[in-house]
Amino acid sequence: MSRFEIYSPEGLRADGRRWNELRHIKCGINTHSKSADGSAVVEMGASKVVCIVQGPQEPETRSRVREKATLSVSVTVAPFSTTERSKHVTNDRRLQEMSANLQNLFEEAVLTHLHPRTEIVCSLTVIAQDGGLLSCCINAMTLALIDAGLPMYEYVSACSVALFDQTPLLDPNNVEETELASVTVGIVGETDKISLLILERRLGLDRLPPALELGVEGCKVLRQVMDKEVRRHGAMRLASRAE
Amino acid sequence: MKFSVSELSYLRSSLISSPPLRPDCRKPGQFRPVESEVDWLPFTNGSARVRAADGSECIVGIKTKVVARSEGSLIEPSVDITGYKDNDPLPNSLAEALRHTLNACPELTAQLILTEKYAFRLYVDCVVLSFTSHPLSLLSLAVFRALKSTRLPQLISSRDDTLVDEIPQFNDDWDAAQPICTKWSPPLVLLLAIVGDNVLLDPTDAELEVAETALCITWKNNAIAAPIKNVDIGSGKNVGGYNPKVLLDAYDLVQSCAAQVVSMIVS
Repeated sequence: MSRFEIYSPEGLRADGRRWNELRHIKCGINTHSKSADGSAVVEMGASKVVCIVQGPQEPETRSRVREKATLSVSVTVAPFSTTERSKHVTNDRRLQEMSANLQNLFEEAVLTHLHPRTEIVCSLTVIAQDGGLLSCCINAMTLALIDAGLPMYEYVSACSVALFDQTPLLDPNNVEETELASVTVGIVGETDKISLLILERRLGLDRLPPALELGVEGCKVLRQVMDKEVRRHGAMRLASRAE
Repeated sequence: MKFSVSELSYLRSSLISSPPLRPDCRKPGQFRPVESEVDWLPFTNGSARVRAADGSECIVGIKTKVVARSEGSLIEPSVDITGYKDNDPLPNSLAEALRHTLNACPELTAQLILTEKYAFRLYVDCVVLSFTSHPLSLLSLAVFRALKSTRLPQLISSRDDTLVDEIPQFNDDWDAAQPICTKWSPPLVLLLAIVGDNVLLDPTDAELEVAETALCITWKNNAIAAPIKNVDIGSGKNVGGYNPKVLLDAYDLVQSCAAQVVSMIVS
């Protein structure tokens, strides 16, 4: 049994949110304009991820020369990102799996056939983690790829949902994520079709549909937030060009 | 960046002329502009972000943990560079350089000791997001800023535990935390390139390409301090040794301009 009251009978979570509320989202695009082709920072609550995209560029190794662009994703977790300091090794299995997931997801969303024989290098750096790590990475990568000017079908947005008994809880923080089973949902655009689904613990099959539904709703909100940021930045760039 | 033979030759002859003519028109003792931010990471005791004008960026987070004093070194630096593996020589040599510099600082170790048996261990974790020239200077600037902003929780139990075994107790109030840098200033490592008989502060990548060697000099409490040593820059095109007189010039240059560098990053 948890030391914390995850979800009170009045319908409030430990941090004061209702079951269907996201945490505060802050995103920035083109944050590292001098050192990268595309860059973005996404904060979801206390989690913070920086994504830097280089490319499309000439691949470093011949194995990456293909008829479409190769996405290479690397994830670095800063040792100070968690409450208790922990040094990750670069070839950590969890991180490798996460970068493979990101690569698969984005190879569907990016029009890679338009840039044959090139490589797109995405480096994600996790600066602070408080739950929803994968979803935060996905959202940051979408914005950075858009900033790099790569053609994409639509925004990719992701959000996680934890299940407290029968109640799905949107965008769980670290405490909720360690206590409960959670599922990460990723969608491309504003469809109801799920492109990414990652479940890390056991969950009753009958409880999955409401969780997925809530997750998709969360993704749509995130897409709007990201779209707003892209448009804000675009308008700023246009205005500076007109001067 | 790759340069042609004629480009390198042009660069070298302009840098060895007297006074040296640097490609970006800087004076020999002029640092490139940097901007920095402190105390911006929520989960750390002290943190800093330093960005250079060319887009190089370094993030440092300092965290502490109470350990028994017998458990080895109290200062644990680590360096991660995006795109580099853990066993790459560059991040490891940078971490080693930081370890040397910080361990050669008795004021810092004195601040970390809690009781006869316990002490804080300081984890200085650096992440280099991107860099164009040798990242040592930038890293050191970020560590300097982060140490300046580091605060340690206030001890409320007794400092003397030789007779009675006692686990250290701390004040819950974060506002009562003590800054680690009270009357002293953390060390700052400055990178200098030696080209001919000239010494150049904060060399760019191109300048290092034609340099004989690079030198790192530590600046602490308004004076030059240990360690002072050569840095492997890996170019090795002009290996021919250098005039020992240049070392004195390097000393003079650091003495005349280090205070400016410190005031630049603190403001």
